[in-house]
Amino acid sequence: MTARPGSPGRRRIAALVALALAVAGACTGNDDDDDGGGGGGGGGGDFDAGDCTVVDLATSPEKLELLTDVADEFNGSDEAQVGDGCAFVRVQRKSSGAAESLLADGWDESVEGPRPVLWSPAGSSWASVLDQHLSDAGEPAMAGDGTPVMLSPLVIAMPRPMAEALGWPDEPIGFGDILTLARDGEGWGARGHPEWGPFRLGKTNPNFSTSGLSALVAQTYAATGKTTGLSQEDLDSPQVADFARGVESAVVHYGDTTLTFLNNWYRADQRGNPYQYVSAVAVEEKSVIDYNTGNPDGILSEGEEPRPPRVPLVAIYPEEGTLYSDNPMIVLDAEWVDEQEAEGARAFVDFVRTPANQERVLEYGFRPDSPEVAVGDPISEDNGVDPTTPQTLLDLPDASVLSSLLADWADQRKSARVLLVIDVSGSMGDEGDPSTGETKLDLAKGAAVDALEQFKDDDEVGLWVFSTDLGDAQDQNVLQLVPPGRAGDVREDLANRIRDLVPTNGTPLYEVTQSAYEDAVENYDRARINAVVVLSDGRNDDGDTSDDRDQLAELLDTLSAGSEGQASRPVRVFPIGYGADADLPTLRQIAESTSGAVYDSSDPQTIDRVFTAVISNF
Amino acid sequence: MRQQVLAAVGAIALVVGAVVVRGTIEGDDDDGGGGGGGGDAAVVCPPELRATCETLADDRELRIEDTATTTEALVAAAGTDDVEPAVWLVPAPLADAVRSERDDPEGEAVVGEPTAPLARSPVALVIWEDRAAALEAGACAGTVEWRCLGDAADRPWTDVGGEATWGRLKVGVTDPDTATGTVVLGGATAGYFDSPDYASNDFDASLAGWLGALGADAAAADQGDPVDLMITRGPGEFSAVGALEAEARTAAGRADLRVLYPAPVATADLVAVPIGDAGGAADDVAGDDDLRGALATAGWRVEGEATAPGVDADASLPADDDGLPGGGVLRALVALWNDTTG
Repeated sequence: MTARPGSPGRRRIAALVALALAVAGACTGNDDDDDGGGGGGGGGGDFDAGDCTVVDLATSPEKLELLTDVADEFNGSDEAQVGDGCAFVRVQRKSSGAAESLLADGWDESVEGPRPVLWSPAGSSWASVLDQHLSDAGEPAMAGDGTPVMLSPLVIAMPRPMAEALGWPDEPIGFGDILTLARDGEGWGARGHPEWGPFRLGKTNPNFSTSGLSALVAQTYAATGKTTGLSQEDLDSPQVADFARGVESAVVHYGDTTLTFLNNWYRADQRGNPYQYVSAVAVEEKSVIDYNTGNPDGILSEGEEPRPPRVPLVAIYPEEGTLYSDNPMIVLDAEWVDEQEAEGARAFVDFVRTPANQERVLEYGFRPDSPEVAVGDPISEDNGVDPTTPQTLLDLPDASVLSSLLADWADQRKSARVLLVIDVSGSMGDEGDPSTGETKLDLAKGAAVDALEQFKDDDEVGLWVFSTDLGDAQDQNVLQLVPPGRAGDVREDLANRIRDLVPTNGTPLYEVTQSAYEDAVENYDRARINAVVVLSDGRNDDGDTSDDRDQLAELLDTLSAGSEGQASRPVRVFPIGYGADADLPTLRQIAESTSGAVYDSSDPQTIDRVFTAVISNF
Repeated sequence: MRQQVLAAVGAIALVVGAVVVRGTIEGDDDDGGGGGGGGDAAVVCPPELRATCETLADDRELRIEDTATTTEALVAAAGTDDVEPAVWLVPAPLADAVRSERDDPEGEAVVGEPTAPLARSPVALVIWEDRAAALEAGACAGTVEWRCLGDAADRPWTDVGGEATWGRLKVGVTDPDTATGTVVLGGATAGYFDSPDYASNDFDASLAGWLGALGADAAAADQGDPVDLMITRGPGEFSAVGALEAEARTAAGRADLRVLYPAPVATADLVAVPIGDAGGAADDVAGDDDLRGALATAGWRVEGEATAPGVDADASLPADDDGLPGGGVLRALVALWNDTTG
């Protein structure tokens, strides 16, 4: 959970998160985590362990397909023969941050799937985060040192023509150039391309995403001119703070996963204009390869054929230096792990590290963590990356400095203007948690109130609710309960209004989304991230189905038109599909039309986590 | 006085923990017989030789133990006879340290005469080709040697002849707390003094500063095999790494890396040291064909065995000397290293 300065509760959460990440020496990067928060079941092939000992593996999403592939080969092999029996590895996807929280706070197998024996987060830092969390709680360490199995450096991805406009590949490029571009009122016009509009940066939230934290560390080093020994004195420097605010001012939005940026970028590319959604995104090198091979999220769904983008990305290795993600394999020292499982897990780790599987690691776009396997294709210039780099690696700051860095970021990040739009239709009164009898609306209200704590005081937040027959005269489809105002001033009012919500009638989703979007555009603030968050548990239902198709078409046209063009006022819509009956496909269309992202909370009990992920965009 | 008693108790506990009790665990061994005995005495190996020593496991009990732990236990056991016979595989100077540092100078050392070296590996310096060229034209003004490398370490590359995008000159060294790492550090320091004939009374602030720079990135090197880290993570991780030739084989033959043997060349001369009454066993272990073959395969130079790929058979080694000071000096050097690098 993110936290922003403000209430004591938020400060406490911020401190916990910051400290945990800090002690971790958090983050060599990987990205993570990048399924947006949580993840879910993954591969592992057909699950028929027979008499073998099942070894559950929780992996960060970007290597899910790879490890599933390797597990399929391991299962049933000679290498899986352990002691008198055999091991069977079952892979599930869990973003690093989510898995760390679950391991620290309690892993509910009924919601999250089986507790892992083997954990592979994006970076070793997460292991330290976990152990620090456990130590804070007076519990024994669970992770210790893992075994790195593959590497990927943090890079700045840019469409090739944009990189060339900055002098790539002859000129080194770094965060200093990004700051210069961000501050130039002419935007890309200063580089001969006014048609590309202002410089826009994609960066994930460092409290959630390892690539986000790596980018934050890298940009701060860049501000100091150092490559090691980042200190509190450095952070206290007005120049460093000014540098940070300058870079953050160019951010499109944050979020918990770089895949949001990559998927939106790819769609923009397919529409013929990858230049105006975002100019550069801090991602892992592997993501650039995936994108350029036509697989922006790194996972090929059934029937999906990779189609290279019209305009490829290139990886820029920041001239000031960068950090690696090392993807460790950690055999958990947990009470639910017995020796036979641990032995099976160790056998799998050895299997992943064999030269043959390190070759496979390479095929998937990671750098092998074995000197016996040379870096080669697909890590090649043909795919926009440079196997001879990075030339300079940055040292992770120590715990206290990293903690301060995160705290400062909460202040220095770009402010947001967000309209929360909550469905209060009758179906929101359905049971959401059988164990407590709470309704879906009860759960959503609790999550929304908690999420308010994540906004910083300077953010502007408003609240609308929608259903049919609202208002005193029962003739309205939307009620504007709290107009957008400074969060520091309206937070309590927002919370009280949310707590008072009750389920009512229909679901005029299209009409209300359009109204909220148009309102946000009308009140657009260029200095902020402008966004609408729509929580809905059902299909459009305004009492008249005859015009649904036209309404949706008009809505999508409006959203698309508003998001494109040089003079656009980009307002991102982040819909939350809530409950099993939510119209997730339509919500996805809505999100994609604004280069936002849809969030799936089909299990109402996950709404807390989902709300947290949504608010991480701001 | 109380402290002395506690120290003595602690020392005995160490001995018991490290040596005696193990004999109990392995059961009643021993031919126990006099000189030349030892029979199937256990073999004690440092962790970095684990894979090689495991070739002996079918025939003998194998104990993997940090060299420092073994050394401390044996130093403390001087003058006692409470040691089980065992054979310790270790670079020669470290066995020497047990004799020179025994707590009771009057007491008889619990280790016997080491065998002749059964395998050798020189201290090597692995450096990226472009970095080597930059140093040759810049700070080293010629061949890259330990002295100029340490002088340039931890400085921006722009100060020592390199490019701005290279950041700092970062040196990795095999962890000096390991047996092989001690030898590497001893060899590097011989480069600093331009001679292996140095002693702890030569240590001064200048050397401490030099070691501090050389070890500025020691923490990173502790994350794994520094040569492997250098290769997998690139020049941003380490510009150069000091390691035994056997540990640097993966770097050999690569066009982008250069393997140097800076003068004066030092070598890790692996010997079998009898502990207690295990002289005969030490000879047996030293002559074990499986062990010799495994050492050669692992990149050590073993007389009569073919050299492994990556071993530069043309690189000559000092004929009758390992190019290192005594074990006590090396232990003092490691202590200084740990002081200066934190």
